[in-house]
Amino acid sequence: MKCAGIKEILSQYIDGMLGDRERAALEEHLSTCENCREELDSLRALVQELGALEPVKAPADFLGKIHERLAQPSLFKRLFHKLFVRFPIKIPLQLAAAVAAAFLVFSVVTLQREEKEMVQMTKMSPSKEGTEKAQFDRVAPAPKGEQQNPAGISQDSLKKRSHETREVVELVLLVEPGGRSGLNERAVSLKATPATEEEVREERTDSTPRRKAMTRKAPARSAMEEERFVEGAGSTAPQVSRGNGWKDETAIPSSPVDNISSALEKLVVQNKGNVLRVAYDSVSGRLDSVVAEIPGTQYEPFLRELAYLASLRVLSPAPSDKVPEKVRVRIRFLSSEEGRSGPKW
Amino acid sequence: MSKEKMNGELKPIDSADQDILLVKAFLAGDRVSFDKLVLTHKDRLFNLVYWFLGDYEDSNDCAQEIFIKVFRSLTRFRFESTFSTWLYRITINTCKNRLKSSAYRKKRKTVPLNNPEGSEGEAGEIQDESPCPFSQLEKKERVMQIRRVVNSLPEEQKRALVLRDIQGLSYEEIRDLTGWNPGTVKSRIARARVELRNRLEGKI
Repeated sequence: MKCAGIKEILSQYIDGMLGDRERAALEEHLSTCENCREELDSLRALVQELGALEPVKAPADFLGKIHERLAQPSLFKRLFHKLFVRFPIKIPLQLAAAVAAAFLVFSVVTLQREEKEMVQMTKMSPSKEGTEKAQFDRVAPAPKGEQQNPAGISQDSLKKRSHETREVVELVLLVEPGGRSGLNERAVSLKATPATEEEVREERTDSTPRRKAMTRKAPARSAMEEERFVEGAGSTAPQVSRGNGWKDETAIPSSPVDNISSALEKLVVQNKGNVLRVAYDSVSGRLDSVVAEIPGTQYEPFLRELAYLASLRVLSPAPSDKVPEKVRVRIRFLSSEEGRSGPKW
Repeated sequence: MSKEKMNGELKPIDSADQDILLVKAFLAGDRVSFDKLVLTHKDRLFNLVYWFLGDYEDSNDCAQEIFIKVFRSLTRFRFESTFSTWLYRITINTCKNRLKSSAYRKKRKTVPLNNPEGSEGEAGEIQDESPCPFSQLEKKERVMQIRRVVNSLPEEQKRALVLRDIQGLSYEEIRDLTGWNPGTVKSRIARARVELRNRLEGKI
């Protein structure tokens, strides 16, 4: 056995880990090799010195300290305390928490706003839509196929309308307070002619869609109710009270605005449009505005004809260069005196 | 002092059986049994931790942490090994984690190399019956030199050397504790001894 191999197993020899054969071979080599004997002696001395080192003992209060630490809060609680209470780390963590909280609040608020907008958009639900549709059915009756629906509503048109968002073009009609004198000749020809009772009966028995008259309630009614319509025979036909406070429009003296409104409705129908909403002033009970939807191709002719009715002001420009499918207009009525002082909104 | 004698003083005879009884008593609700386990193993464990970490205060904290871990995880002890083996395994893992920690590394960089203990703890623990103050001082210096060199060894070699030559564990016990195969245990002990001897003699 060579010295290199001997030195590798000297450590095991010291610990008595060699087998009989290896130990015999090693001892034979050591008897002849002084270098390996010195190596063995130095290693053995080192091992003895290490084994003789005095052990370092634990401090006297070792057990007491363990008891103290065991009595302390758990690691989680200490970690929580360390992270959130101790000053050096408190600020960045609190900042992070504040930022996270702000982000959360912002997200929730934004989400809620979006949801609210969605709800507002989807408020054009079939039921409410039906009410609106019923309102303008008096001037734009639904096709036959749609009449099977109690509300006379086409589901396709509902879907289409609920998904379309259009800008509303604001228009103002200046009406002379003196009555028909404020209307142009064309407007006079367009104004609704009071229907006789015979005509009403004919219309009711006829297969053509019934014409619904617009009535308005007493001024004390809420604004929402004011926008509602009830069926009626005609603008001049005697109206039976429905028991809900609605009155026949003949009970209230007609004003220039009232006259022009029926002309406006005809104008909308002529231009293949729909009246979507009619609003009354909650205080005076006067017609305040009409919202209508006009096909994009008919928008320009509609404006021209509207200008014949009364002095027209277009507050917002035409929707866009590209002709939209439909244009939604909001026509407000002002007396000439109000118009001269400028619109109040 | 022979190794057998040292081991005999720190580890009482039939301690394994006694440990098992104490563990069972603790699991049955006897908190005092845990104190007895601590008192039985604290010095031996503390010495091991001190050789691993090289700092008295760190060793004190780490040894306490180990016993607290034992206290909280003793319900998971399955009696498949002796309690001391289980305790040493926890000790080795805890010391390894502490040596890897950034706080310990930072401290090791800042503490001067010639005083790795960073305190006078060891000096107060050495008991030397020699009446000669010079002899006592020399011995103290020698111990510090050995500690310094041992701490400078590669971690695996240091672990093998401390477990074998300081703690007096057998090769099989070291294999069980570390998970090394028998050949690795032998070679690491042999290399550590040669390396330590060479460094102490100034050969490297």
